[in-house]
Amino acid sequence: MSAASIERPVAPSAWIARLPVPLVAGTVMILLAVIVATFGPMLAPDPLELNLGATLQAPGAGHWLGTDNFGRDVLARIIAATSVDLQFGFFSVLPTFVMGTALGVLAGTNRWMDAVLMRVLDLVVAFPFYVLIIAIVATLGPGVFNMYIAVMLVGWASYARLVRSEVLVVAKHQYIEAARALGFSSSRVLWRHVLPNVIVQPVLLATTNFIAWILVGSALGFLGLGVQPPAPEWGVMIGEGRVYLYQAPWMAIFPGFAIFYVSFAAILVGDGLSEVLRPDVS
Amino acid sequence: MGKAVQNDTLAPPILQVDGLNIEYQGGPHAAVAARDVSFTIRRGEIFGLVGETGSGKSTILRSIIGLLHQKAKVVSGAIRVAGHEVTGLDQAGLSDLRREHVAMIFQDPLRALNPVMTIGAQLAEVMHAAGLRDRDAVQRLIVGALERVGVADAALRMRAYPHELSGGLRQRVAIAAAMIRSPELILADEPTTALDVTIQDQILTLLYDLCRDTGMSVLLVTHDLGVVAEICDRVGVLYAGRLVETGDVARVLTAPSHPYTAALLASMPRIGERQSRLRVIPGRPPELSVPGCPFAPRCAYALAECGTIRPVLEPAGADQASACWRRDQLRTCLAEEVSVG
Amino acid sequence: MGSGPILQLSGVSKSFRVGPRTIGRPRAQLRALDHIDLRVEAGKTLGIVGESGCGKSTLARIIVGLTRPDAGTVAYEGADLSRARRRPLAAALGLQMVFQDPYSALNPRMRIGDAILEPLLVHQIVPRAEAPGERDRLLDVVGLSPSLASRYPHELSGGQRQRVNIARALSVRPRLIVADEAASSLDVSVQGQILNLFSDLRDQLGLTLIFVSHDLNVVDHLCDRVAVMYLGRIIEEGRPSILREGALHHYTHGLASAIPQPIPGRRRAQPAISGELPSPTNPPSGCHFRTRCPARQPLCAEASPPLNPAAPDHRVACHFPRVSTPEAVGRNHAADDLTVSPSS
Repeated sequence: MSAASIERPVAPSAWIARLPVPLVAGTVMILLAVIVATFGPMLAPDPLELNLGATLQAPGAGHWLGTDNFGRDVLARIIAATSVDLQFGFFSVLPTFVMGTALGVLAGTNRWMDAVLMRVLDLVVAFPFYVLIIAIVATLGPGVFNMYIAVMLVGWASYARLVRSEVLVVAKHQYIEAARALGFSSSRVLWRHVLPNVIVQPVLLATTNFIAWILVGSALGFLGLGVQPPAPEWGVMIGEGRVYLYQAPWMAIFPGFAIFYVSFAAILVGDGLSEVLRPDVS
Repeated sequence: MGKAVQNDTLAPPILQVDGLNIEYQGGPHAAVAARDVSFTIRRGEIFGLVGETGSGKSTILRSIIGLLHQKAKVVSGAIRVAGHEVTGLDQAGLSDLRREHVAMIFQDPLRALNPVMTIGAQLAEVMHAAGLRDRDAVQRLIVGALERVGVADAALRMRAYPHELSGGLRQRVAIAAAMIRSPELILADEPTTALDVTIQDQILTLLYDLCRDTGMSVLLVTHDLGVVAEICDRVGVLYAGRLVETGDVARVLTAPSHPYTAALLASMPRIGERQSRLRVIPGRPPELSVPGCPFAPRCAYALAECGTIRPVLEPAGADQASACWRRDQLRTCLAEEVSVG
Repeated sequence: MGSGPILQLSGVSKSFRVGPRTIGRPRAQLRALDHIDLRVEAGKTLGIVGESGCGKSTLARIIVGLTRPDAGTVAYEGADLSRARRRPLAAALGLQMVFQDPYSALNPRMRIGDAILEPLLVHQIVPRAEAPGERDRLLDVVGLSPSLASRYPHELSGGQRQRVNIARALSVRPRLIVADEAASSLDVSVQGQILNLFSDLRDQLGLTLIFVSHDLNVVDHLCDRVAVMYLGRIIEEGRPSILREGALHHYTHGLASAIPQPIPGRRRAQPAISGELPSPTNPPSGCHFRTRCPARQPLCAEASPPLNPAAPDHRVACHFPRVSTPEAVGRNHAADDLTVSPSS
């Protein structure tokens, strides 16, 4: 203990040093965004305050990222939108991940559940993804709450399908039979032996879906079906900026950059996780 | 059944492997797959290359036909097939080699057969590539080729897809495909390991008969000394990438001159020789290169110098060679070990 | 060692439906097991041999309760288990299995120590505080250092993994272990170590073993009795000498001759058994083996031969069994008695 720890004073943080660089970098980037979402609005100007005397101002000392067609500060609006978009990403991914994984495990282990669930799933995936979401939101009416409902109705399907096929593969392994022969309850077999071996794929899917859902939220905002103006949202902002793309490109470019930033961070996290979660099981 | 190869009238060699070194690169350290491996296969001979997992037997076989894993590299040494140097050949050269001299049979014939083509179409493809164009002639040749490898109802089986055939039939078809160009050398990588014993018996008999009828040679890679005894004329025993013993099968199996061969034979359970315990070889093969004899740490007869000075393959009697310092002293000792079982 | 059967199977049958579902005709039936009668004496070792598709693995799974038979009874220590939807815990734990593939039989995300600890804790085999000690003891019993407990399966060699599998099966203190091709995927030298471990465990713990294998060499080495299966039926059962000159069934004889032996000069002009295995979904009428049998007669296609006693301790299902000289049989029986079964 002594000699080794003297030679290596960094020992306590060694496990962090062993984490893959993309995971650390991606997590730090996401944390930064969360900090901005939490504390940013306290420092930034009011994102809704109109200033018709200073519309479409280029980025400069007064407004770092310029102003929009109503003279609102673009930076303040991007910061305010950060929490909206991050929340939408998180709260779309989390329930769909849990629901889809649970249903996938059920389908993979129970023949009746499988028959029923797979038919429902066929129905969900029969429609193009965006068309279905838009159709649901349009039917229920625009707004954030209805957007979540549409997400729940559609989002579980990809997890369920993935997990089901993984369960079918894992169930063929003899360690599942060995667990049954040792007299373990089916719930123990499921939780301790099946789930840990199927969870990697849906976790990785969740990191890519995190990006996808933010983009969906932005797309719905852009179409006027999601977050309603004047509330700031990256997609809404790009939609508004589209009209002024020649006069005031900053209106659309900077929210676009925010989306890119979060997406990139999520990709890094997914990349890193796939390294951590996959020990060499060759 | 008499041996086709007589010791006094030696047939010319079809395969000469000389000082072959193969390394797996790209890992943290270069793992050695083959070290200073040299052996010769004569025309008409069935040569068994035997070893346990990781001994390098499949890697050596693959190096002959240029099918090495991407990370594996022939570092040094020469491989001559029918007098032509194989190492360093480009893709075109390798294609010529495969067309003219060498064919391969895999452990799993499904890997060698296209799943979406009928057996007949695949055999026809090989014949087209060989320059045969006449439909009827091709048809007749295919039926003939299938009948020669013991496929009953050949005309009917031609229309079957690979998955519709049993493992044994698939291996027969794979052998038929390999035989079409009348190769001089067949490389067989564990060709019967995936088959049931009665089918394995049939396939081994088939290979043996084809070899005797056509005068081709076979390099048979296997983990099973029983298979070697069944059909091989000569054998090479690999341990940790090195050839530790070679020679005439009858001599090697009854009077081994290397302790590893003897230990391997003694650790096989055999029908009719029941003992309460099997002999085992303690420990595991070394993962890295060791200075002395690679088997020394597990050898019951090792002396101090075995761990430091590496023995080379030297003659140990007529048509037998082994890499062991004590080959002469241990003669009777090892023969006894094997005969007791 | 106790006497009397620890396990008795009577009329055990099992079919599977195979092939695609179509509207026109019912799916093909694969008769995996066809009226299996088998008796296993406590403390003895039974070998079940046969080639792929003979039903030996299905039989193993039925014995340990991973599959339920369609018909027949599976009696463990006198109590029938075949009707129970879930076996009583004592019986479930009493009959354990060691699987063929040491790579697939361990959960890749569980440390091997935890894999052995889990059954100890779940079934409260020992008080919680003593469980780690018991885990180390089990590792020691199978010849592994307790320091390996924190390793993951992929960090072990094939032989070490199979030892972990054996330790895990032993953790619930079974009375009978079914080993399904438990040494087949291992290298010869490692296989010998595992086989020796099994015979040591049998002698030290008084375990009953059922060795399911295609390798007659292994079965002959280890077993007191042997049952030979072909297409879902037991066609011969008796002492291991039936794998040598004592075979009465032509299949047993052919199978034994087909095994490659490391003895030069055994090369025959003809394979021991010619022909392919018939389709298990559509086996030949009468005796299933008749299509490949050298001694077939018209009767063989009409009636399936029952598994009848041909000699004391020897059953065979053949209308025209091989003639086996009494001297050869006597010599082999003497060999059986001389070796193995140190329990007797």
